[in-house]
Amino acid sequence: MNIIAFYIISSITVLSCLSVVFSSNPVHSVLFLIFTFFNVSILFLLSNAEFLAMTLIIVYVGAVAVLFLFVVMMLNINEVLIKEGFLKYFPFGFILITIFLLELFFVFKDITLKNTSSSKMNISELLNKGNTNTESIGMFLYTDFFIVFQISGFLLLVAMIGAIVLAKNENLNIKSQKIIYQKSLDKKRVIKLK
Amino acid sequence: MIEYLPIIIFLFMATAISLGAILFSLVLGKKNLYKEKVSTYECGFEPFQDSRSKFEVKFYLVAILFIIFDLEIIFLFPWAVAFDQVGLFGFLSMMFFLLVLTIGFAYEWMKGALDWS
Repeated sequence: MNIIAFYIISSITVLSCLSVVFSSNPVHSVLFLIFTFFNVSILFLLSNAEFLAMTLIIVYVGAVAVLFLFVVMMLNINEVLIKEGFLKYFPFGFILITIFLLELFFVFKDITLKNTSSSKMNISELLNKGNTNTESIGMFLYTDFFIVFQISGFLLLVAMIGAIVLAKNENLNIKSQKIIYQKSLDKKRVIKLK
Repeated sequence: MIEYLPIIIFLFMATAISLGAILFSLVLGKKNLYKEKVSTYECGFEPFQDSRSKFEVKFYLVAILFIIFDLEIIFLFPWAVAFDQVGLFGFLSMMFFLLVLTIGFAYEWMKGALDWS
């Protein structure tokens, strides 16, 4: 039952991934990407990772897909222009993909997943003992994986500051009220009577 | 897995109802199409430009800041569920995480990224 569902969902995922790349309308590409996210979240559900599945829907479908739509709106892509470059860039892209796939192959060829946390518990053991998925993530993420967790916090801080520095244009003529400046003005200096 | 059965039934029902609405109006509806009727219009004018127009980058900034705080809330969920098991160290670890992001929030506020002209 589970294995049949896995094969159906994963083949739909691959098909919609291909549609993301090959559809000529960029908005359709984004919609196919959202469909891919939904299918991947079902794959997570099938492998008992409920928290990740819900996170994928909240973060990727709820927020990242909106960013992709914004990018599509901003770039103002012409459909004809996309088709034009395909053959020109194909050999270069093909070489890049081959190198990337070979790298992935050599990285994952002789890797075995180990339990790296200092405590001797394993998440699948916890699940078998009746803890929920979210609870067993919470038991490890904040204590055993302290460094990784804090690095992710600093990563979010860097992203926030970077986005503000890049997007905030100081030269824009923003007419906002500066209350401190207004209050500190001297009445006699500003108003002149003739 | 069986607890997701209602969701699957719900998904099938939603798909069937929405497809049915489209299909019935396609099959049963009376169609009398001519050129003026199917062309795009804009309050009676010919369309002035492409419907995808460029807009200010500020909207994008709001969306990025939304993602960052969205992720912060996502990190809070497992912590809240396993609150009685993480102990004092887990509590302080989350407080430090929140402190780092609050520094970012203060920067954002001071810089005026939330101000709207």
